[in-house]
Amino acid sequence: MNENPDLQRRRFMKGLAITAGASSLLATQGKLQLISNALAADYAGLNDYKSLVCVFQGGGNDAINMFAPYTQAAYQDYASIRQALAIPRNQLHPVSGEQHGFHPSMRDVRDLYNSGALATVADVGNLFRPTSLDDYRNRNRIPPDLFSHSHQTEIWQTNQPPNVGSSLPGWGGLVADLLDTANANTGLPPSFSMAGNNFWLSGNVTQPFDVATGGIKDFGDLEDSTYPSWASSRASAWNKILNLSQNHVLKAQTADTIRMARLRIAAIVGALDEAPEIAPFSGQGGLGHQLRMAARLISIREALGMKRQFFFVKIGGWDTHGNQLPTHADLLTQLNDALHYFYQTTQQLGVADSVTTFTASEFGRSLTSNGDGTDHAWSTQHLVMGDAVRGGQIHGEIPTMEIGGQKDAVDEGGIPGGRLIPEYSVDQYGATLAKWLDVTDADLSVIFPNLDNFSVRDLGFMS
Amino acid sequence: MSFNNCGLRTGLRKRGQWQLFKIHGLFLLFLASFGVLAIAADQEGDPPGLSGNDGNGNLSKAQAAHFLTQATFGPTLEAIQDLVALGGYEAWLDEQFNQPVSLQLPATQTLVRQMCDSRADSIDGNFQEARVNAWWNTVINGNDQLRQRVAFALSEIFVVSAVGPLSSSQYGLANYNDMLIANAFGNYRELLEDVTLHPAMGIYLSMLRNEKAQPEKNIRPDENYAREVMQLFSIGVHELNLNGTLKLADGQPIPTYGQTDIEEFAKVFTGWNFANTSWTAWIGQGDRTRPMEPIEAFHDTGEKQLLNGVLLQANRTARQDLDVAMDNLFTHSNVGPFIGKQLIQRLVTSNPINSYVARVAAIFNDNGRGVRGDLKAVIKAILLDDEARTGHLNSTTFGKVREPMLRLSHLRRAFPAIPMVREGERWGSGTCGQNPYELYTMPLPFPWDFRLVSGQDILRAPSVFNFFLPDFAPPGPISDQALVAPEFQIMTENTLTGFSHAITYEIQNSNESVDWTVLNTTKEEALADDTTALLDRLDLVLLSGTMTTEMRGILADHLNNGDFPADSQRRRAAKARDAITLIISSPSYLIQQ
Repeated sequence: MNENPDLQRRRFMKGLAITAGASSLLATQGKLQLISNALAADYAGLNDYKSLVCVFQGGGNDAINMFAPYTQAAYQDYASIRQALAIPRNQLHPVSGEQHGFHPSMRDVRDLYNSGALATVADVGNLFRPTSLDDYRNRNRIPPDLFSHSHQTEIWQTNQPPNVGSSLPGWGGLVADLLDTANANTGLPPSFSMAGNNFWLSGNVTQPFDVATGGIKDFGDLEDSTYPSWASSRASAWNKILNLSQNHVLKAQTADTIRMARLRIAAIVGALDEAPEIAPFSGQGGLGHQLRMAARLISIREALGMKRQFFFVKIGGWDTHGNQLPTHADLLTQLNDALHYFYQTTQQLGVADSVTTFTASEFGRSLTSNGDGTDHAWSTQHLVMGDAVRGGQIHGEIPTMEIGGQKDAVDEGGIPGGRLIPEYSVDQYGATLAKWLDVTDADLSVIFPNLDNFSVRDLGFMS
Repeated sequence: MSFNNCGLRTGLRKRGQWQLFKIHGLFLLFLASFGVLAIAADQEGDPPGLSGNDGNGNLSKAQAAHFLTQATFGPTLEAIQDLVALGGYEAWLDEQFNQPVSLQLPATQTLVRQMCDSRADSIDGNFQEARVNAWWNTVINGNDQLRQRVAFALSEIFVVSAVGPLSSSQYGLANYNDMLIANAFGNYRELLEDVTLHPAMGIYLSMLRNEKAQPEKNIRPDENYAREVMQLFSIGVHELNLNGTLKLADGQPIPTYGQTDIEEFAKVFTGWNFANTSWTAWIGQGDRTRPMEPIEAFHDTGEKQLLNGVLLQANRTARQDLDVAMDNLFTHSNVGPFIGKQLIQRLVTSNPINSYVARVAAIFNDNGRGVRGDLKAVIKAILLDDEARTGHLNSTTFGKVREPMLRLSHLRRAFPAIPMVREGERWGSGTCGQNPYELYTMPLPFPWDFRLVSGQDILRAPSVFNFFLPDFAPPGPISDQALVAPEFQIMTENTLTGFSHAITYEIQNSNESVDWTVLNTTKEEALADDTTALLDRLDLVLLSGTMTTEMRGILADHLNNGDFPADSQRRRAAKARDAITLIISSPSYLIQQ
């Protein structure tokens, strides 16, 4: 399906206007460039359905204990490095081939792995180009403020150094900007967050819809109603107040934000009311409830005319400096329960092959411990789930557990902490996912600013 | 600045009246039904506009309301009148500096007992409902408004949270808040040390039982507190000018510290444990309300290289090391602009002009009497600065998003909240002989958590990075103009609608519900048949007299022409509720100017 470019542009601009409530949110110079970028490729004709779900583990997940070595020799290295923090070998759930094992809390995830529905992607982190120990020591184009939560979270989600006083778009949002042209023109963004604001889904054109896990509400007493008799007049007054012209920048954007929220809510509540019943989540923690809401939004994709959807869910608490063993076990149980539930739910909805779920975390954790916890590090492992994933295997290589080796980021003369330099960048990880969503190679280079610095553009974990 | 000491008398009298509203809602309803309160209705006349004072150098009510919006949990008519009668901000500040302190731990413990919780005398527990309600009672009814308001701001900088490892340390959290409350008018140096040694912080950022290295076991000191005390509580990650802007070298920001510095500070923060407790005792036995104490055997006694060339010699005690490290951070030139700017953001405006930050930072550096870190002087400098007092006039950028907690506190103060009254019961065995207690609870959707509905709750941030980042810039006109709006980070479809439901419930069911907290709008209802009088009142108390002609016209149109009930009592109630609902849901209100 090839639309006339002018027609496509008009349709795109109209979509923008509706999405933003014809607001000044978009009426700025910088955006126009991206609108033309968006037209670099024709995505309007995409006819299949695909969606991407980001599970953000806030705080820095210790993937070393999540997915540990299992062969006797490698396990011994791990155990001697991690000491009291090492997970006992006989408690790990070994994967097929018994080279590695999942944490005791992750039996269901191990089963997903063995069934081919889940893969491990090894040695990923924020990286602007292939980086050696010398590069680190010379601060040669390494990500700034390494090991700081806030900075590395922003870089993970945007692939760029934070720029104080301006908001950088996230790579999920940029992909959503492009692929939203495949979606029907309903005034809804293609992206939904079940965990509030985030960089990842903040595009130049599209901004995520922040959805409560309990469902979507309107503004209640401020909405038009026949009861009580003065409610209609009240709603009309509020509408007029929201539409007053505002010279004050903060007030103007507040008014825009509320007006846009109302348009979005109106565009979705009817479809959500008609959504099929989705099995409740009965596992531990809140993450499963967030993913259940994502499943509900996936279930109404056709009513919404959506060919591409994006979801952001988040679970915090991974900054396990202290009391790591019980804390991490509890968090991994929540992750295990939520991923297991969500995979089953996508199967029931018949979309297990078109929904891909991936984990994210601002950084991994140190090989060394502080007695009962671990500290901020860099490289880490991630999980990718769905029937489109080349599951049951590790993509890339789990790095050698060596303190003070060629991958240990430490200054000359410093005490090595086992903070390993990643082999693969988040740009490569994200580009692999975006390519699966059918973003063209040329657009990948625009969205992932560091991708061209790496020889491998596709980490190969998607089929 | 003009002084008028005779205002003190007025203040005392007004506080006497104010007590009336603290009593139970049912009693209030009883009074109201006889129109007793209505007699006290408004006699203050038209509020002056923003043009300011009355021509004799006295404060206008609008100016007073504007000031109280920044310095308290929200102006009330009485508080505005008190301040006008006092005649000057400095007199008000001096009065506030001397108010008795409303402490949170004793109030929390009292509530836990009144709830008949048999664990009330335990060392600690999951008493979140009691802690949160004690806080609401204080910010709604307490007289030490400035102290509590500053402590609330500090709680968003020196963050600990019940979300995470402190969920069952609610006494510890209440006591941490008391520590902030006690230090709000003190010195930053003491505040920093008290924060560092508080066991709630010790648990939250794992300095508690942080031990010296054991290289043979690949054990290094825990870096958590070392990192965050620098990044968040004192100096920040980049070198700053006095005015809060970044120092640059070759066009790039200059890091204040590196990974090696963190490792050195991590060594400093080793060897600290619960007071009077052995290193290996079960953590549940630790007292979360007494400062941590050192156990030297676990302290790293090696040399430590601190910032700016300060070297700690080997073989010093944990406390000696800590003293020097605290001084090392305290004397760093970043602290004034770093902390000062954030306090300005929390109280006054998201985007202070550079000279404002510089003036506040200069006072931090020297209060005029050679003292560094005097928070009383810093608060004065922030609130009395020309920017705070008049920066909003003719500005299209001045101000900040009202935090959800401050929207609710303002409502609950301006239209005195009627709490639910409950009597404690032991499971299956009736009451326990305690007095009834008050709860400030609202109806909430799944998963029934105020924090998830509003985006905020007291000492319940999702992480040490608070509910929002100080440099968050929402995409759109705000970030396009290189402005920030931290609170926008929690202004989303979810929180806007969820909080709107919760907050309008309190208004639209005013004086009526006994199921949940509601507001008392009796005074406003008494005015409600006079649209001009009602809007004048609400303009003053809610908008500091800034309501535009257009907005007033829209509200008047609804109040005069809506299909309201014929019954006068119901009509007046509906009009008062609608006027309040519409104003507090407007962009003009959501931005504090």
